[in-house]
Amino acid sequence: MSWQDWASGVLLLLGCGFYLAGTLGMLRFPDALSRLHALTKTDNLGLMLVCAALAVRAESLRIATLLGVVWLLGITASTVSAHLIARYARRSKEAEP
Amino acid sequence: MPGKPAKPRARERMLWMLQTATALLIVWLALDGTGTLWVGAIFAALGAAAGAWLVPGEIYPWRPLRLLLFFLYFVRDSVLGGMDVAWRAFVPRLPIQPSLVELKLWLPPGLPRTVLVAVVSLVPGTLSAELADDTLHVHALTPGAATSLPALQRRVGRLFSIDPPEGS
Repeated sequence: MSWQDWASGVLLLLGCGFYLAGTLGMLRFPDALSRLHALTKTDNLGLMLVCAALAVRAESLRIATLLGVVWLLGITASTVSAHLIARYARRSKEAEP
Repeated sequence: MPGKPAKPRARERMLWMLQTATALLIVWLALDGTGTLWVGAIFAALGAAAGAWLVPGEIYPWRPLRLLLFFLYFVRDSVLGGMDVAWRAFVPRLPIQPSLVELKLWLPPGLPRTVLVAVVSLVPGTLSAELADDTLHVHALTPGAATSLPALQRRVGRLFSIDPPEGS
C-alpha cells in the first residue's frame, strides 16, 4: 500500500470515530441544547477528516478543492440548523408553565 | 475610533463584489474544471454583482491574509471542539455542566455578525442558542467554555477590519 492509502485509511477511521462519538453524545446528553453540541462539533470534525481522507487519494487538485467546498457547505448547513433547533428548543422550554 | 473619516461605500461594495466573484469562480473551477471557464467567469461576475446590489445595509469586505489566518484558527478550534465533546460523550460520568450565558455583540449586523453566530457553534463548548437585538444567548457545555468568546468576536472583527469599541 502507498502512503496515501495509509494516510487516508487512518483519517477515515478517525472521522468515523468522531461520527460515532457524536451519535453517542446525542443519546447520552441530557437535553436538546447539549445534544446539539455533540452533533455540530463532532460532525464538523468528522466530515473534515473524511473529506481530508478522500482529498489525499484524489487524482487532481480540482477534486481536492471540491472536497473542501463539500466540507464548508456541510458545516454551514450544520451550524445554521443547529442554531434554528436551539432557538426553537429554548423558546418551547420558556413557554412551558 | 473617533475622528475617523467615513469610508466610501461604493468602493467597499466593488471590493466585496470582486472577492465574491473570485470565490464563486473557485467553486466553478472545482465543479467543472477549466473547460468552461468563460461561462463560469460570466456567471461568477453576475452572481457577485447581484449580491453586491441586493445586500442590504453596510457591506464589509474581508481581508485575504486575515481570512487565511482566521481559517487556520477555525480549523484548530474545530479539532479541539470535536475532541472535547467526543471525550465528554464517552466518559461514563458525563462531565458536562450546561449553562446559558449572554454575549454582548458589537459586530454590526450582516456578514460579520452572521459569521460569529455560525462559528460560535463550532468552537469548543459553545452553541448559539438565540440572537435577540444585540445579545447572543450562548449555551455553554461547561462553565468555562464561554470565556473565549470575546476574543473570538475580536478575531471576527479583525477579519472584516472592524475595531472593537472601547473597553471590550
